[in-house]
Amino acid sequence: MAVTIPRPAAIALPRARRWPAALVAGVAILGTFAIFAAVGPWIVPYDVEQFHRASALEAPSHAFWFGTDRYGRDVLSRVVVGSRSTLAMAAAGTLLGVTVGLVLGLGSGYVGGRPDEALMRIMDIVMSFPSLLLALLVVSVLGASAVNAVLSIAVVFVPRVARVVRSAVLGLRTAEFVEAAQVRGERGSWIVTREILPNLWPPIIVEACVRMSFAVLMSVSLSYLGLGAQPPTPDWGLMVAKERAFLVQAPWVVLFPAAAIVTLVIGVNVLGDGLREWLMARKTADE
Amino acid sequence: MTLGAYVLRRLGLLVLTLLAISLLVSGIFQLLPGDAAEQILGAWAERSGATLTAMRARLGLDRPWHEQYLGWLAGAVRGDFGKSLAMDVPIAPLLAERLGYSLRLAIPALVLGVTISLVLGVVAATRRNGIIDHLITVVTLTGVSVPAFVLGSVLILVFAGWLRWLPSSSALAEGSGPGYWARILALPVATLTVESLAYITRTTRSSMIEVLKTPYVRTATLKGLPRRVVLVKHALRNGLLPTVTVVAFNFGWMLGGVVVVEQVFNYPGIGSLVLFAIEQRDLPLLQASMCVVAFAYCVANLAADVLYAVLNPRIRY
Repeated sequence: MAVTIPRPAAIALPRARRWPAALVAGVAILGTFAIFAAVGPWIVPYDVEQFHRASALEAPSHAFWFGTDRYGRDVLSRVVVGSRSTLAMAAAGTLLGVTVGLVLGLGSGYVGGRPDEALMRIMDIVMSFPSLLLALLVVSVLGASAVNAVLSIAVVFVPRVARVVRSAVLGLRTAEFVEAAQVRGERGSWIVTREILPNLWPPIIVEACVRMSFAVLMSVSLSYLGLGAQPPTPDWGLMVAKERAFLVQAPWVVLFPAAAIVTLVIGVNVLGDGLREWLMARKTADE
Repeated sequence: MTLGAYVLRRLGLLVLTLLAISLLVSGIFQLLPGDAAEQILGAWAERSGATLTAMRARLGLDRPWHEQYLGWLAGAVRGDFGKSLAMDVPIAPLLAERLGYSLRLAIPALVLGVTISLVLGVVAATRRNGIIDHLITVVTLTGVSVPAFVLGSVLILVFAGWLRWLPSSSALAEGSGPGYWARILALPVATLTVESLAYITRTTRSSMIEVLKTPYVRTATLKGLPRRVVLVKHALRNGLLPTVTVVAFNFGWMLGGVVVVEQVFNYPGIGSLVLFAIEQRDLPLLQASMCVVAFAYCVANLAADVLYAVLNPRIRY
């Protein structure tokens, strides 16, 4: 059977040059919410805390595109500005969790031996709690607030990230360029940061994206349970929870923030898929 | 090592894990500002002096930490978790009652979720890259992207608000019998089920795809066995192996999901008990319920590992 083998460059390069559609879509969705979070208060039609008592629970109209809640606050304004609370909590939780997990995973994987063993058993115990319950435990100890919700998300993420990083480090520790550096007599910290870390960025970025999507779900869920953002902050989870009683009477007070949550999560998931595709294409092109 | 020895070893490890968890929970509560005595007296603003000291002594909070922990542990082993501060009733019966309600919610959801996602996963694998496969992927991905409280709210809106088929709240009221429970549990169970579909479906799909490629499945097909027999007798047994692990993971997820779903539907399970304990800062209740939930999770994990070993004779630990 005759098989024509295309030159590697011919397959790899066009893929690497073109941005995956998923990446573009993900960046667009996340970027829109990021812009809302950054400049929300200046672009929305009404102040988020302004009561329009005469038009409480009004259906979507020309004046209020997404309707109003029970105090007559504009739902559109609260949904747009509310992206700030959710994005900030999710991003901060992800960043903190991934950073600490990265440091622990790098150290544990490179040092090995007993410290590694001890750390991993501790991580196993932390992971033996279902994630939302672990977050509840942390929030219950520290008290209900947005900052503590961020901490609890980070606590849930650390062992999971540490495991992923550690196993990647274990794979690299015996690589030739690492052994070469060891033979050159480089210090451990130099090897970890300059030789191992640069090779870890692709899996770390993909992992961070997966984490971010969980973080969004966790932060809105915590806020929904009253353990995250506190009133009167405009927050999607909080809006769904507080307006629950009016769900049937005025569905828009719940449906619009709910739609925002789902759009954001889908955006993050799509971005993750796009990044994975893009990083893999780049890797193929490099080789 | 035989299966029996493996199970014994895992049971030993289970005891150690549970001890570690209880120690962790108890240690965390030591870090809390204020203790139970202050919380009881807090309502009467009697926060200082002799009353507080007397209350501490009554609750045993004046003893060193390790003594308190050992005392709690000795009680817990005998099924005595002390008294709830906020409700002033013994915790153990309360916990048992709420756990029973939660299991009525979680077990049907788990059974339904696993069954539906196995079918979906196998169907998707056999019609790989077809329209049905893509449709299943879209449905399961939506499940991952929609938080339980959003799905629950939408279900309430549609089935209780618009169609008026089911009650909007699952708070227990007068009523009994299977019909009553079915009406109350329908929406919460549906929410939990849909939320749990994604992982099992995707795992089953990819492992079935691998299995369907193997020579022994091809042999079975080529020797003229009906498609159904090949799928059920040959492919499924190996295809299900990775799924077993995911089911246990799913049970853990469900323990968290239950907290949210119970809140959405005002259902009095163990999740709403945990939230109540957090709100009221009822430490003994919180400690006991957290330990019970972690216990359930560990047991589920153990069950999954043992089942895995039973299903897969190649694996010997």
